[in-house]
Amino acid sequence: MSSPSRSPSSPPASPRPADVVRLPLVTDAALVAALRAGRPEAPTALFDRYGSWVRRVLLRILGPDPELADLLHDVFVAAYESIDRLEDPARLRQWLTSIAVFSARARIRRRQRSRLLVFPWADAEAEAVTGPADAEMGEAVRCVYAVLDRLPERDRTCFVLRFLMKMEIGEIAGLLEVSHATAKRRVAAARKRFDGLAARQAALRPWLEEGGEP
Amino acid sequence: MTSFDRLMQHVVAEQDARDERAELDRVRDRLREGRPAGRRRTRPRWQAPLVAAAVSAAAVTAVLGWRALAGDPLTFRVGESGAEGVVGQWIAARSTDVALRFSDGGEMTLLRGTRGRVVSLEARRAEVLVESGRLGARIVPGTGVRWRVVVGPFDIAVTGTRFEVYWAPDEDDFELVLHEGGVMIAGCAFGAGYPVRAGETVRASCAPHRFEVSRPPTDPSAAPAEPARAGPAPEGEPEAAEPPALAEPARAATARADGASAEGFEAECRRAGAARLIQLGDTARFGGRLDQARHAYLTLRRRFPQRPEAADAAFRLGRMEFDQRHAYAEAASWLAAYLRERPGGALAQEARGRLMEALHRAGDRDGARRAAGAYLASHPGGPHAKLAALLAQGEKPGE
Repeated sequence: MSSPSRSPSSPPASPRPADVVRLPLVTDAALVAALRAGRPEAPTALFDRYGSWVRRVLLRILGPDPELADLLHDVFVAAYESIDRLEDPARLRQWLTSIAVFSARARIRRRQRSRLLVFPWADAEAEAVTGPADAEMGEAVRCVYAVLDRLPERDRTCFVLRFLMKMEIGEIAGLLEVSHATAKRRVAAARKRFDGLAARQAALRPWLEEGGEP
Repeated sequence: MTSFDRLMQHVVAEQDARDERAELDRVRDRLREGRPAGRRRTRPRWQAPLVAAAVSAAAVTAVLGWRALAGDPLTFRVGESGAEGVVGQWIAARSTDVALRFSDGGEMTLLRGTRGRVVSLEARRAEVLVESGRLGARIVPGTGVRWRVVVGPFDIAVTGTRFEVYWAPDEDDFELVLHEGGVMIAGCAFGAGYPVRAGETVRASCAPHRFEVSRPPTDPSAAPAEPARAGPAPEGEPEAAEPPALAEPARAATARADGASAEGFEAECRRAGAARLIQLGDTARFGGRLDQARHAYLTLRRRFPQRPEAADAAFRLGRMEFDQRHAYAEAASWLAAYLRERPGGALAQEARGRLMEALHRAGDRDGARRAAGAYLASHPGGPHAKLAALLAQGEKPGE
């Protein structure tokens, strides 16, 4: 990940010692080795390399979420703690992705539980943290989130991995620790459920008319 | 490409349009602070059996294991309903105060007009953010939880204490009234940190960087207190004549918030409508001017006895007697008045709980037992239910 704070042309940021360390950790294997060896710059290097990606995974699955930063933090703390369990350092990215996916799934379940409760004073605030501002397209995107919010956690995860993140079925199977056939079946079921719910949304119907492949 | 694919692209584009830099920087800083680089591997592996045991081969287990090591995170409940609070969810106290009750026994109240949220809750650390408005807090000492209250650009580190904090971003006006304990404020005028002692009131602004500390007068008719300590003006701000209001923060805050001078308070009460009187009373109460608060609430009850706000004023009088004057018998009278006037009101659950506790503290065991029975009948799952069960059985709960 390139960080604007380290760009020579960017305004001077508050000094942060680790920012100025240039790591010779070119490969993931080198980075994992540095983490396991306890090299002080390694945790920051891991975050700099994959923080943006992990955040994107969380964001894709969850949509805008006030806990996104906390989840991102948790994913990396979990990664630091369990780096010794990573069998193939070359698969560092997939491994972080799997932690992110499972963290996001847990978060979805928490959200679904809390949604059962009523927070009348918070209704208007939800608008502030979800959905874009522009009108027509924004409405469609908002409806997508609304439909996703109604999907069971497993369907939502499968749907997002396949249709928003464009992952192959094999990759999804690996992340969810299921067989290829199971992953394919779940993706198809998720898509069917999404389409069924989306068809009830006027703003989404035009987008479904041409159908599409799961 | 199908329409569906294009829709998905729009969703992705919308997500990616959000600026991630600030969030990434924040998390990066948190990771560095919470986990000094390299520390983990400086200890022999056999010294971390819990960590080793907690992380499993599966990544999900690693996440869960890590959480388990940290202990059960705090939880909180919101408002009269006692609904489970959601971390990160904005809470706006629009028409009434909203209480947040935490599982470690701490309590915070977003005063009407305040907007904030619980940013994070972990086993040993909690963070609450106030975007604007006034928050009262009672943090239980000795629980090992490090509380952080972020109020606009100011950052308050708390261990165990009771305080009220106010932030008006449009006016660049920060005020903290510390009743008990000690806190450390950082940010803006306070730099890396400034300790505040019990009894002190701190007012600050961010631009220019300036703060002033004083002890508020206990008698509202007394002369303004002498400023006890003054903060620097680190950006070369002259120590220019402070406006007189700065010498008496609570009164100044009230005057500014109300648009009325302290001297004109009673006149303002005579002119004000019911809702305005509630506002005047609240502002005075949280400025520490209890006599003025009482005056405003009583005026409301006298001038508008049939309005719902009259009952609300009774509740506030009860709470003030309970929390600030510790006059429990009087508190019980006011709370009972509220319940008589609005038995199904929005504050009824809290009123019943407080009434029961006030009677107990006032030594009225029979009254407390009856109130406990009434509470259990009306709110069997309420936040005071455990206390009610004890009192209903005539047992003496631990203080």
